[in-house]
Amino acid sequence: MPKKAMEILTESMFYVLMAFCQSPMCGIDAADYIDRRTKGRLQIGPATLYTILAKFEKEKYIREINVDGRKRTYSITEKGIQAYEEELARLRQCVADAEYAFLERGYHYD
Amino acid sequence: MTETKKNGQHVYRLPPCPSYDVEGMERWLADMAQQGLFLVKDGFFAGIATFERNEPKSVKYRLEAAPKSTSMWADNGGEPDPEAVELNEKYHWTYVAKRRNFYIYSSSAPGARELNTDPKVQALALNAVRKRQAGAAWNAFFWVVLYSLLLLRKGLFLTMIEAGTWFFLFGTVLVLWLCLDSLLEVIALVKLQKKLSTDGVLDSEKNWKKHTVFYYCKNVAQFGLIALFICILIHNWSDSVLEKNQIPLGEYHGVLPFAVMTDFAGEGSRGYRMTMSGMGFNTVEEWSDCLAPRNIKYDEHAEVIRMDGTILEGGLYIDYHETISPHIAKKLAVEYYQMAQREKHFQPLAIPPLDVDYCAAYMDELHFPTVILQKENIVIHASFYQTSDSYTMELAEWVHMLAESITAH
Repeated sequence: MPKKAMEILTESMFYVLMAFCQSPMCGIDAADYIDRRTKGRLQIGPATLYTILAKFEKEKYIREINVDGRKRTYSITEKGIQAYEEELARLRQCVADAEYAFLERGYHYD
Repeated sequence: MTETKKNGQHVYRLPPCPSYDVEGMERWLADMAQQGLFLVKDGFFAGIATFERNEPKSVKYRLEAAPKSTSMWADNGGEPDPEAVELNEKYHWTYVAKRRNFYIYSSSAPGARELNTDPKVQALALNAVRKRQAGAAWNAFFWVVLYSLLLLRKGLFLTMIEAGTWFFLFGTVLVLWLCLDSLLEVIALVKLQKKLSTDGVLDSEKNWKKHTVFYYCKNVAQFGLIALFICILIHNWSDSVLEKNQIPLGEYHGVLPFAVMTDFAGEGSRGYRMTMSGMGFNTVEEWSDCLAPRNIKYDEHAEVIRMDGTILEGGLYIDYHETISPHIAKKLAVEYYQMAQREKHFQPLAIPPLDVDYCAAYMDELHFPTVILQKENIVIHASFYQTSDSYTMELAEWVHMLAESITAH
């Protein structure tokens, strides 16, 4: 059965959750964190980020903890941490599978 | 004549594509900017875009699905969330205007980061728009069905003939067209979501000119037909409220194709006096329709002194239809009866056999004896109440006269 939209996090979603795992922050801070963390490889567009924040808040992965003018600060919830950990485990498995397949074919790392 | 082109001048344009054609709209706005026409702040009103003329330059426009309703009565006046606006501004995207379910942002910064970098998330954002549009389509469909049921309580043919068949069909086609339009919008949004989820990118070079003529023609036709429909509706409604088509009985010079109270009173009746005058009674309304070329609504309140000195007094209400075929006449007669059956105090009455194709009698909700007769292409629906102390005509008698009058006609 195909998985629902939030069952597999996209790369942008995963990194946004990763940002909130560090500390509570606002959307702009999360985007800056992702830029730094990925050294600019992943640049999340502002509309994408805003949609993810709204979706995460609706799914209770994050919650708003402070509003200062236009700036809203969010913190990750238990459900959000769980989703992050599940996705991390899935990605680890992907990498492990890929490495196993790579070695199985007789290739080896230099 | 050469058009004077001054910087700062406002120019108005009709968009060449619908709001949900995200690719077409983005390309059109960018092309306008290349011509020196820049969408002004809040530059969409009543479907018309306002541009300001300036030096041509390259500007990117992006349509962003509005997560909530953009109606001016919605929270925040339908404007985008200030947090989203600020977030976008940080990356050099400025909020310009909204068009239906989309917010329009622009950026002239060459290296500005794209607004949407994750097509799956963009498809997710379109969910809200699609759901709202689907909700609106269902809402429209629900009201259409509900109004149709209410309107057709009288019966299809009766409603068509009373409202005017062409007008009725015109309204039906228009409503179906609007419902279909709503549905097509939902389908277009689903396709766009699918495209984002599978292809992952939108076509920023889409040729918006391809369907422009069709889009303009469709909009002009739709607007024109809605305006025409409203005009006819208001005209018919004012005629009905002002009772423009009702002629006082005394001023009517036509030949009535059915028996009336003087006929009921019999030959040799000596005096006739209209009663309840000046109260909106005693009128005749005659109209034509393509399904029933001659229709008469007749309303008579009178007292007639019969040859033997007794008085026939009361009120006679008649609906008369000459239809184009006996089949429609039969349908009308059945619809009259079914309508009566739904009344609370409906009570069938027995009548002797008559030389007609259909007959039924009952007490109506006001306890007036009522009869429905159909002979070939003629239908008559008549209620006759009597108030005289000296004489009361039997139902069988006046119904027989009515039946004979339409048979003779």
